[in-house]
Amino acid sequence: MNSNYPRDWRAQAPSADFAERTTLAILRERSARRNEWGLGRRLALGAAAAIFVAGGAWGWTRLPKSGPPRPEHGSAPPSPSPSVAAPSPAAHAPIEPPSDPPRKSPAVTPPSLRRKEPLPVSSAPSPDAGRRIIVPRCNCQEAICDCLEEH
Amino acid sequence: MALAFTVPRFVPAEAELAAATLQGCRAGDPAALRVFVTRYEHMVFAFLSRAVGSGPHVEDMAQEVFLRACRALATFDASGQARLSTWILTIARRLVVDARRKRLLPVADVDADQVVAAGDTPETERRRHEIASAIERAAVELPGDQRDAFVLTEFHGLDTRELATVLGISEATAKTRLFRARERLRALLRDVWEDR
Repeated sequence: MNSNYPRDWRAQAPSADFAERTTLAILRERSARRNEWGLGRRLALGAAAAIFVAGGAWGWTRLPKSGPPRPEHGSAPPSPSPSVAAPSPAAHAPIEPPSDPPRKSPAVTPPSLRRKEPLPVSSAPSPDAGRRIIVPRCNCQEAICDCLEEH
Repeated sequence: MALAFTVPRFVPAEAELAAATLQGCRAGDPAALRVFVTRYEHMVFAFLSRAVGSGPHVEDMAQEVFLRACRALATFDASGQARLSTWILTIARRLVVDARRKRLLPVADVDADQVVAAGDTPETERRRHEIASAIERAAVELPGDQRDAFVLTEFHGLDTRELATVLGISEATAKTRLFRARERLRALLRDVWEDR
């Protein structure tokens, strides 16, 4: 048996002026949104400009500081390198032939540093000279003596 | 006694809104907007009042549905598969879900003036009133999802695909939900039907 009783469930009907009021509400909201959008766009543009200017100012203040560190970075590697590289040219320069530098060149990374090192070494011989006096102690026997000191 | 809801399905007689009117609505033309609201206000009121119960809150919710629809009208694809009415019902259903979640709805109250139809005789009218009240009470007993599925199918003529779109679920789930709603209503209305 079929029933059509769900049809008896009547729905609420809109009031007579609902369409008019709703249309006005839609138009009002549209104009408000347009105004908000204009204001929002102006605010967004202002904020973007402020961020841009602030970023530029920050970058400008950072720029002079970032300039000097480059020389510092450039001069910093030579300071550790003498601990590794300086003894070799200083101690071995007079003794060994120039075949050593090509062997160590892959281990010591920048070839430019190696080129620069001979200049300070040659210009400052006095500290090395001081070492040379202290370090070697002749323990040689009379027949076999390979030290450089004179007996 | 087996009951079956074989009501002639509600098929909207009028066509969907004309493309020119829709374009006018998007442009903010007041006349086009008025046509738009007038065309769909009965459908929105019918769904809302059955989904959440009649009352003054339905009018507020209906207005919110139209405001949301107009805000999102630019995103509606008129050449797509979805009808504008289905799209509006989707918006209305989301509003109902939000209201249920926030518990903004008043306790459903069966209003005799709303449900009584003009009967032929006082006895018929009284009987229709009883049935209508019983249906509304039974519908209140349904879970919200099942109630929406039942209302959208029986009163708004949505097929399974459209129902699934409006409810945001798969077609299989929509079928199951509708089946359960009908079964539950049959059980709830058995006494009313047997008295008939």
